Amino acid sequence: MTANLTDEQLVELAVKENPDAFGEIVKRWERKIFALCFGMLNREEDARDAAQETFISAYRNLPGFRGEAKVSSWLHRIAVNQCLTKQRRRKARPESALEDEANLPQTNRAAPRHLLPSNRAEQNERLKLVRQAVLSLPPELRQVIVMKEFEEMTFQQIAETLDMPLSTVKSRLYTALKQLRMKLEKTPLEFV
Amino acid sequence: MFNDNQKNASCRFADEIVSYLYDEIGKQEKLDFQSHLADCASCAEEIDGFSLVRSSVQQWRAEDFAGLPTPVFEIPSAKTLERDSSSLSWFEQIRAFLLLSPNSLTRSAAFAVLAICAGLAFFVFNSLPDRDVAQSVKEPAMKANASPTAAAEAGGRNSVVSEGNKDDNQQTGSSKPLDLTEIKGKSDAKKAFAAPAKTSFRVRAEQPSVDKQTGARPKRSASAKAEKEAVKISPKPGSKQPALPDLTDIEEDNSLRLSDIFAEISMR
Repeated sequence: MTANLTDEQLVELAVKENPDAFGEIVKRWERKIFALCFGMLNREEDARDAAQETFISAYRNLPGFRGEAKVSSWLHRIAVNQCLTKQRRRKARPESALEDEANLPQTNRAAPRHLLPSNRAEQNERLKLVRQAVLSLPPELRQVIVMKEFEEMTFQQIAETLDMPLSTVKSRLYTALKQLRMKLEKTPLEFV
Repeated sequence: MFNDNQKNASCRFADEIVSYLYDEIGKQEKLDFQSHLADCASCAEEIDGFSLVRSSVQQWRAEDFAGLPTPVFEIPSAKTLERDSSSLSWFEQIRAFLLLSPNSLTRSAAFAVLAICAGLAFFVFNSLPDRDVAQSVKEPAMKANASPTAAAEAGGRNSVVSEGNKDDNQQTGSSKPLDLTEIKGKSDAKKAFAAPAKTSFRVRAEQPSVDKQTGARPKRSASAKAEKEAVKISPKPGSKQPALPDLTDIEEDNSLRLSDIFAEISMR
């Protein structure tokens, strides 16, 4: 029943009649919001917490949603703010840098079997550089490239979600790619 | 469209690089761009560099994220949220409200500005000098000028007491009634003291009379000292009463008074 409703209709329904309608919104956007948070934070635990906080905040503030923006825009804005807050708190803790090194995802598990250990080490090193390069981007550029590569959204969807012109989205993506290229080309590792 | 970092800004196809890269381009535009790549080395190099970056980011996604299951997000019930929100500090509640209500930022800022202006106005108002005291200093001086002519003729001691607060007697520590017997023209005296003054000081001074023969008016000396003493006497509300000064050595007030003028006229 609720599957055919738009996000805005679901919000209205959740506010007026049935709070459980918000569950449908969560179901639609949980993967994308989680992907966004992971791309912004690069840590599963932090991404999960940020996504959870996003939906809780959205649910808590449902009555205040006036429909001036799309529900997707609203959720993305909350999620990005949650991610930036988490990142600031993490930076404030000096011991978090050591935790980051210890909790890096084990990339070996997904490495192809035919790769030699030396190649695997190189690949791990390259992935580490990519993560660092993306995380070092300014938030507005990082958000666009994460939405494009992690959430796999089109330019039009990104423009609607972020409530900005299509040309601005393309411009930011161009700038983000350019900066990533400069950071990654500084390293002596070869690209495969 | 793009910023100054763009290498091939002069190339008219630069805007299409990301569209072509992500294959979000029309068929005809794609064909045009492909033929352009054959002729434009900078665009070709740009496409190659961006492709490598893309593949690295996609590899990162595949390695770290693709295999992760989607967490189960629990939305607490309304009651639980109310309980949780009550446990939040007031700062967190305000912050959460402002975070999700950008329109309220304007209202909050306007309210903050109004509160600051009100606070400043209150501070400025309170820092102004006590008007009552200042006014009270003037009025007795004016009343002294308008004292009855008999005061001048009496040549004796002339007590000028303003009908101040009842605290006046308390301040001076004396409940002695006003001695107006030496003052002739009681009606004038009544007029002089008809309007209640806001002051609360008592001044005793010998008032020199107008010389009948010469008609010389007595010189009036400045009564600033008396006024100052009077100001000292009248305490501000709520403050401790200062020590009462000795008023016996106050200079004579020889300033010109209206009563003197009237007296002179009547004599003529």
